[in-house]
Amino acid sequence: MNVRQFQYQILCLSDKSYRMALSILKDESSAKDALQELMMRLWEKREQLDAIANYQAFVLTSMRNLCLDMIRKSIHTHEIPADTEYNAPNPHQQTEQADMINHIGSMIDTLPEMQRTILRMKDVEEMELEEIAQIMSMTENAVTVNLSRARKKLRDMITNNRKKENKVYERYR
Amino acid sequence: MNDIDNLLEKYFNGVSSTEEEKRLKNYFEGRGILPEHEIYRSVFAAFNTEKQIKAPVMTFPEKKTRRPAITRRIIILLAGSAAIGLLAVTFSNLQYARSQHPEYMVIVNGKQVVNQHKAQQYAEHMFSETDKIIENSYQLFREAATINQDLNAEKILKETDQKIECIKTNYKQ
Amino acid sequence: MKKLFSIMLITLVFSAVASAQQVEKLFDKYMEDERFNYIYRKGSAGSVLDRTDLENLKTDAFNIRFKSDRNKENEKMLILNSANESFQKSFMAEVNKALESDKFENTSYVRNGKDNRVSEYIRKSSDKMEEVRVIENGSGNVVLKWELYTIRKK
Repeated sequence: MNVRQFQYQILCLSDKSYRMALSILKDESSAKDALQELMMRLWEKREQLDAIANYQAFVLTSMRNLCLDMIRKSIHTHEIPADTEYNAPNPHQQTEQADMINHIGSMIDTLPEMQRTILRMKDVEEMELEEIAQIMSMTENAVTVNLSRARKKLRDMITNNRKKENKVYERYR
Repeated sequence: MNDIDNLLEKYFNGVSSTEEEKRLKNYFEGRGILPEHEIYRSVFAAFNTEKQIKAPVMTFPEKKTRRPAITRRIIILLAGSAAIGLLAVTFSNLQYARSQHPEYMVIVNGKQVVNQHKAQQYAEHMFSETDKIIENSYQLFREAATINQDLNAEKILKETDQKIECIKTNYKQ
Repeated sequence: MKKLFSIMLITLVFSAVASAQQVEKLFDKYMEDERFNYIYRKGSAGSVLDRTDLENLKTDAFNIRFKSDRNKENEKMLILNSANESFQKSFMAEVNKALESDKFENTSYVRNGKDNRVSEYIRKSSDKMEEVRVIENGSGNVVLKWELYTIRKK
């Protein structure tokens, strides 16, 4: 694979890879490190990349594995225990739609890694079920189950958040 | 709007098609969102926002040294004449080169598949199917390992202790 | 006396070498048998990154695959198609005997449901490594897969 091919087949997947790293590691500088590490290794081995059938699946699988490895090796994990409640900020401060969008992101970040990775691959990256299953080394059925769980949890978090908002407003009436 | 409610139900069950999800996205990007659906607008907006995140720019350490003009001309000349010689050599080496690529032999129920292309197709398919079986057989173990990782009692207890410590410290202040 | 001794030694060595290839002999024995399908693939190093290779990436990011110390030389499969129970049993007995005789080490064994089994075996030497997988299901199908790797010199 020459420089141009590398640019068109591999480098063009930087954005998706970076977003995946960001989702798993939940930290911008770690995600940047992961992306740099991944691209450097792929660059060094570019001659061996010619026979890959699906570059997107290959690159994203590699990124995910790299990130999970980084988490395993690091002393402080960024992983929030599964039963953490999302603590919404004071609704009085929540004046803009932009804030809410950020909070959706934080809500998704409280989901277990598998669920949030699948959710983002489907809803942000708009990938097909088959490819997600390949990257996650799961059956399509298992992906569907996890996707449903993730979306429903997100729905619950939003609903609970709205209820809390309404309660606060009620108090101040 | 019954249609949107149906789509939403499918969406949360993880069984909506790509087309149906596109319709939902279009609905939530538009203006005619019904009050009962408002709560989900920020979710789809958040997905859109996340998709805009771009990877940082990277550089690669490939050194490009500019050769002096004369040397380049000589190289081009040499390359041209070498190319002709190379073509001749390549043709004679074609047989040898083929042996470096994957070779296949397929015998089905005692009869050899002579057509190389068919043999290759069958072989690749069967190896791939077998790999899937092997991979799926270990799926349960991998899922168990992930569950073990997420539900690591020691890790959860340690983090709970840390949280309590943090609350105690803040309370004292 | 010396002659006899050297003949015995050669025979011993020969039989030792020969008997270490019982699994390969199985392939030779059944490849043209109409109850079986036989597939052989010879690949150059790094020519195909299939799902198995992606799976290897999981263990240690890139180290297994790219800084890998091995090249896949070739692989072959023998597939027994829906045989009657007695032949399936006798074939499995042959396979197990051959694996034991060749001193393959059983590294894992997974059982799904009542009749489905996947077993893995490895045999290593200083310059090569062989992996064998045996897949059985309850319907009389058996897959015997053998992969040969050479160890790269550092």
